[in-house]
Amino acid sequence: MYKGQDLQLTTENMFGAQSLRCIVVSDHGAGNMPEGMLVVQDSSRLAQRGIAIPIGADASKFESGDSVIIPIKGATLTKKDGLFQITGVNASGIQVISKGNALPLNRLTTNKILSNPEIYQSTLCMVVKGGFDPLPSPGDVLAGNKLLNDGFGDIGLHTDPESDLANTQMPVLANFRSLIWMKPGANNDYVPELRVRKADDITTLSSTVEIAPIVIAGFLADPAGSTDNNYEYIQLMATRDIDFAATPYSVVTTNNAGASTPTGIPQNGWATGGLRTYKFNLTSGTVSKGEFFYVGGSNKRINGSGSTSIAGAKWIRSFNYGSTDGDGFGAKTGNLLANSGNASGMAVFAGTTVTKESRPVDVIMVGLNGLILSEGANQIGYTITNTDWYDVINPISLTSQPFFRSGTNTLSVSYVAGVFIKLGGV
Amino acid sequence: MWPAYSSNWEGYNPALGRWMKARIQINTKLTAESELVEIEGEEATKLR
Repeated sequence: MYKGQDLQLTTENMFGAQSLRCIVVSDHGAGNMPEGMLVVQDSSRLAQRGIAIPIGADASKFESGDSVIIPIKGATLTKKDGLFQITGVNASGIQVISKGNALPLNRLTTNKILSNPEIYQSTLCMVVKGGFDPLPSPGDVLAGNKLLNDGFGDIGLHTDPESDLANTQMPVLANFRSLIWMKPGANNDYVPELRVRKADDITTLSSTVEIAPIVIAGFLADPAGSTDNNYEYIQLMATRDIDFAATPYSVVTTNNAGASTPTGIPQNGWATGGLRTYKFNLTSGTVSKGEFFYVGGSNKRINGSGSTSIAGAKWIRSFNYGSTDGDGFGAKTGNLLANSGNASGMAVFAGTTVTKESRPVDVIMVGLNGLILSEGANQIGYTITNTDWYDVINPISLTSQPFFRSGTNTLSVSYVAGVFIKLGGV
Repeated sequence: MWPAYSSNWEGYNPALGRWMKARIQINTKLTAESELVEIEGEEATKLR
């Protein structure tokens, strides 16, 4: 309805309506809401929309979850300070129909909020797996303006220094159920920020920092030419200086194509061996922080037979996997990584001993299909770790999900024939 | 003061132990003449 000019709301321009039926999302109990603002959300549609209603001190009389009817005939729809608002509402006319109504979780990523603030402002959202930059030190509290990152972007988190939340310890990793508000930006515009309403809007997921010493950066699963044998390779990046003689790691691949034996659920997960999993031990050589290095076939060609040699790159472990068994487990094979719809993948482990319980330091899976997970009493599968793609604990339900394809761990690379898969960004 | 927005930051931040932007799949067509820079250069994984 708003076209850039204040609009007085009438029965005519509201198609016969005189009031707004909605759910209150603001909660002034902890003192961290915009002062005097009643913030309501329309939950009657699939898409959530919210609006702010300045009613002064009476805003604190309403609680989150109140279902209310707000007479708005004669009020004014406006945009002020970057926020859509309805002004001129008499608080005494607001009727509470019921209390304690459930509000949708409305999980949002920060990039969506930042790119569409007009859509999401004045709604309650859940930002999952948020962390701070810089990392909080012991004793750091929420008071003030903090930068929150959820792996999709950075957004401000405002906590009023006078609020009950001000002295809350900053978590390392948490879910933040927050009101999306607007604040002045750098160029006379307004940008979104988050405001947590009360202490239990924050669900701490982790109090410790897990740093992956090695991350998977790319791989070639389907080199050009008539054979993949001894031409596949995995590109990795060190996030710290590593001397593999002093601090060994291992890289394990899995191939779950129908012909890969032993068939069925991989009874020992990443340590199943045979044609299902294959291990490279990284026990010599050094890499520097930020340096790419490679593990794979000893042909060391960029794209299969007859292509450019990349033997001059940093190779930490390579041998002819077509004629040599893996380090500790894995039968010699012409295909480390599947060329099919069935799941394949790769994982990096600290040390060279890998068991079905071992948790990798990084893991990337390709495809979803195949017999790879048993979630009964005897849980078996390919373990994952906390990464940008996977979570050991479901961040919403907070239940355990230690394997690929369990719970929310369903993200995987789509198999594409004949390409090098970069795992980067743009 | 608000910290500066940093939406263009990407890659893995080892100080924070997290990806500033989640990795995305980039399918890179290689040829027999391709060079290492094609898999280590633009769009490759970055460390912040």
